[in-house]
Amino acid sequence: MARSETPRSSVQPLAVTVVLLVVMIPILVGGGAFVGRLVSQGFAAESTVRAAENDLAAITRAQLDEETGIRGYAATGQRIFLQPYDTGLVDFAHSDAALHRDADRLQLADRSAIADLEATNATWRREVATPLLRDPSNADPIELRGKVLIDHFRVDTNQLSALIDRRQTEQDTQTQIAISRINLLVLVAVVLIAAAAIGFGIVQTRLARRLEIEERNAAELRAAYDTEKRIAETLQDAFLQRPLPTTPAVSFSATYVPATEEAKVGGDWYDGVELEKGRVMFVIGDVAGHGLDAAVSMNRTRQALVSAAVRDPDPATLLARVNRELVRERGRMVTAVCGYADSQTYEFTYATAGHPPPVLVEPGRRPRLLEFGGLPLGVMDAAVYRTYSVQTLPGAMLVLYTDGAVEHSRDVLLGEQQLLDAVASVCGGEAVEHAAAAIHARIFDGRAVGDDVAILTVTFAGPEDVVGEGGEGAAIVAAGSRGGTQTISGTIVSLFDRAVRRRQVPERERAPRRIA
Amino acid sequence: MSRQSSLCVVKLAGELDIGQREAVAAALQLDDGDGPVLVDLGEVVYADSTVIGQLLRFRNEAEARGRRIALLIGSPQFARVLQYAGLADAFAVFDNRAAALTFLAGQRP
Repeated sequence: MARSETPRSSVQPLAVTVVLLVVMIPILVGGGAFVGRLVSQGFAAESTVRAAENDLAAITRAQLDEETGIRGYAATGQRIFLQPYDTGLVDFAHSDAALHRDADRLQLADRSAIADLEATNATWRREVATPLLRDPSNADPIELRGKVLIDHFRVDTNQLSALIDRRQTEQDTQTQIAISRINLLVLVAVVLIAAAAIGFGIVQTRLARRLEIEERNAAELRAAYDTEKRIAETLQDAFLQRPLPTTPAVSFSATYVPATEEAKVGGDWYDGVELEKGRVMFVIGDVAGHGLDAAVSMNRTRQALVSAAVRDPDPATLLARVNRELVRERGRMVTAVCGYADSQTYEFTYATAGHPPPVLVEPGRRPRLLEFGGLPLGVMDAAVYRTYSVQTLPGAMLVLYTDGAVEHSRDVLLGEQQLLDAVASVCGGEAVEHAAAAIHARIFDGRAVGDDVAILTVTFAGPEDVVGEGGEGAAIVAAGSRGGTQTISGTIVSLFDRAVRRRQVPERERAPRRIA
Repeated sequence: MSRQSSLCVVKLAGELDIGQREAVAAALQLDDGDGPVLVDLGEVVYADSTVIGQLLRFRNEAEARGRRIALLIGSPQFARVLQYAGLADAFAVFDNRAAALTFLAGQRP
């Protein structure tokens, strides 16, 4: 289920979250600043109102000072009493100007209250102050008129005061509305951000879960790979551990050393099968590739070769049959050598398919590479194979190997020489049962091996075994005393001579037959 | 049309093992013509069984299209590896270019 989710579906909520944050953060920050400005504006407006009220009080005081001065002058006739009047004139003018500024600041559209105030003051000066200054004696009727005008002035003042108060209330209300709107916006922003955070958290959790699933899948894949490797290894171990037959007349030895660099299971194998009348069948092969497939393919080819060998004694026919089977099944490419060792005639009969040549070593002679040819199995339906026969001697050893034994340095000509040297040095002294391992040890001398190497040896019983002439107990005893062959080399040579004379066909390779 | 077809040359070089399988597969491509094919392995010093298998399949493909094919090799070591693989039976193998071209220019069998 997690696999079916496309990455897109998880990216979208993430993008929405990011956009929300990008939009909301400025709103939060800007909203805070706006509220701050509104509040400070509110404070400024309040102080303006207070100033206006002060100025209003001041203008009232100035009007009263003017009146006080005029009335003192009218009562005493002395100019000294006119001083408050003079001060009042100046103060009035100042306060009036201040009131106009306050009105500007308060953005009072209606200035009629101020105009009334000024008009009342002007009327009072014209009708009260001026006549009394001119003639203070006839004061009473004028003072009465003055009282009326002063009362009028107070009414005007109160009107203006009420106007200022109303203005302040208006402004306060506007600020309150603005603040509450901003608060709402901020609240919405906070809710959205919280929602975005929750959404983001959900996406994160989902991503984490998918990551976990993918990791688990990877782990399962790894486990599956490990399992395959283990199965392949087990298969190959099982194949290779199938015991080689031990017969009195022919003995096998084998070694398989997997590549050390990569713990890959190769497709190398070997087989030895005991047949009737002192004959054995031998096979060595290499399936291209590594792993479980190669191991399975190797087993199939191997079974095909062994079961076909029961019906068909000719190695070339046998390879051709298995080749056709592999081509039909589109199996892997396989290289192989298969053949028979006949202990009654000391003859090796074999055929090769894309495989390096067998090595033959006979007592007292240098090891040599035998003839070989033919395409690998499984690549061409019409591939032709040849059967080669080589007449040998008692004690002769056939060494079969996979390409890792000669291709380790990537100079196969050098590799062949090293192999021949190794075989030469081993056949002198080592017990036949350990010949293959000894050859491997001589070639590689403990060095790391880049490819799998399998080596199989097939050895006819030596002359000292032949002396026992069929007695199985005697042969086993003789085999147990091996390892001292060098010390009795003289005897070996004389026995060779006898065997050679008896067979009358020593050392001659039969002309190869061509099998279609 | 067929007689005048131009030569298809496929060249590989170096040490060819399973690590170069993809590259070898990419190189081993026939052109659309029906002229002879020269597989130039003159600079190849080693090839493992994977590459041998690829060469054999390439040969089968060329044969199936009725195209003459020849291998040109340089290193004796590599020649030996080809001999192991029995390629001398499947290919006309040459160690000099002129001989290979003469063979390819010859009459079809």
